[in-house]
Amino acid sequence: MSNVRLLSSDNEEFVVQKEVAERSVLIKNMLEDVGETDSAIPLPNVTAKVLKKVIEWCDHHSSDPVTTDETERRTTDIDEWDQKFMEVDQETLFDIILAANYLDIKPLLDVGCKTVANMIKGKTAEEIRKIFNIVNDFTPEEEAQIRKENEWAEDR
Amino acid sequence: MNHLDHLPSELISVILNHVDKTCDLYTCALINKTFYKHATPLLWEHLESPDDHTLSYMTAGLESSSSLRSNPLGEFVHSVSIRNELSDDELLTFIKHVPQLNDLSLEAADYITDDSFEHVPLYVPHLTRLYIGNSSITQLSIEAMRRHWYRQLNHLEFKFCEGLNYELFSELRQFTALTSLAISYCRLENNNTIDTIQDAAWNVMALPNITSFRIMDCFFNCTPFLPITPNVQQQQQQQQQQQQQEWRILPTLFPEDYFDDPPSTPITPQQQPVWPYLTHFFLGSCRDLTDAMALALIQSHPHLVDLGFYCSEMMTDKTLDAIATHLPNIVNVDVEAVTKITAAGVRRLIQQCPKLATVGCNNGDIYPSDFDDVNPSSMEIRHKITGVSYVTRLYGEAFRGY
Repeated sequence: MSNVRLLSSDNEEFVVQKEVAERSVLIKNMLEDVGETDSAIPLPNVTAKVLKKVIEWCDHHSSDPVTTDETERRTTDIDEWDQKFMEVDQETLFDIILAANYLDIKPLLDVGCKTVANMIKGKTAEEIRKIFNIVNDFTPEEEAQIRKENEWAEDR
Repeated sequence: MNHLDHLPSELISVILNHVDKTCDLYTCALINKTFYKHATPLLWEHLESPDDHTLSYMTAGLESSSSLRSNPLGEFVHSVSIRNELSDDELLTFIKHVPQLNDLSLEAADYITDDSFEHVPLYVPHLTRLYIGNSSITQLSIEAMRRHWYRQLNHLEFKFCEGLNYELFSELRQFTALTSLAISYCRLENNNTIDTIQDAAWNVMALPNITSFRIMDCFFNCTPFLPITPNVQQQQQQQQQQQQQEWRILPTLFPEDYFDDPPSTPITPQQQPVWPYLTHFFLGSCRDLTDAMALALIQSHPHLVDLGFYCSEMMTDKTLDAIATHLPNIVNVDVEAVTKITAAGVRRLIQQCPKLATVGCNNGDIYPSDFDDVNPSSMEIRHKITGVSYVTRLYGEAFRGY
């Protein structure tokens, strides 16, 4: 089994099994383009801290079948290991989502986004703003208009 | 620090795609402007109205936004399912605001008449799927539908639409994009002189792209809708007549019930499929449908995965054997009220078709004792008034590993 070297934005090098690294479609395509290479693949958008998490995830899921089925991808169930894996602070959570997006690892992106979605469900708008430290930028009139237009959806 | 509302907008959309409850999306629209922008299209994309209360609130929201903005909410609406009764006026007021609509389902259209429906195609010109039930629309609406939708409508279903007649089919012929057509509980009275069921059937068979066709409980014999080419049908009819004559001549050498089960001669010339892409087919009320006719369909349409015949008095286990031989991918078979089907035939079918999930075999003459080697959870059983139980459905797993 051949290895691949990955270089984080803060110049930390990780040696990873090719099969694990290829969970990332970006890296897989790069390896296909470059062919056999000894030099490290630079990942300027991912810090060592985040890359380490991403590699941990890829390693655990290295033998998963590839799911292209949209409905299956959409279910909000997250398996137990992934739930534990995602028990991180918000900043890391968003960093993982961004890295998964950049590295093109769809299942990891979905797990991250589902985790955020689950944090939203069942809450009020004010509670969500508080959790994610978001400022309400509506005027009272705008907010009233939105409530009025979408009234049918309020308790459904 | 990374902030939820600073994520690239496509990622906010991905997150909101995992928020599936409507009330949660409603909440998201109220968080801030970024979230409003991404939650609103999802909130309005698929509308379901279970009661007139909801529909009137939806209509009010659409009206309110259309007067205020250049890009009103109705532009986001792609599918609408209305399960409550509504008036012509309510339908028109609503439909005017959803010009991008693709998919319309009106389950309880009891009060929908041509007065509104004739105008619906004008307001939603991009519609590709329509289901309408219990409506009294007539040919006027069908003509309007044809004018606006004939190029792109691909799914069409009528149920309990008693105002329709056979002229329907000469219009339908022009809906060349149709892939799925279902007609049930429509009386289709023949008010005109020239149209016959057979003409209607030819019109339907002229549609080139049908993958799914269901006609059932329409109070007439549906056999002409079997998609086999005319020469085969005629040949079959001639053969039948000939055979019947021959039997009449024969002395009573045979047991009486032999005549109920005429030997069907297989049709020799391999015919071209009428619908090359056909996967789902259901014919309700086809009393005179024979094994040979069913065989002609089965041989010429190898992609069938779901096949049903209702109420045939002629069809026998030979059709089930033909399914097993020619349709390796079959998943569902229904032979309800097909009186001559036997438990042995059903058993052979299930044993030979690895992908078969269910067989509806409700003809009152197949009993649990016929399948006493099968786990009772693999069959559905009903009871006659006399207390006798009979099998209505068997699941494919009944004989797996048998």
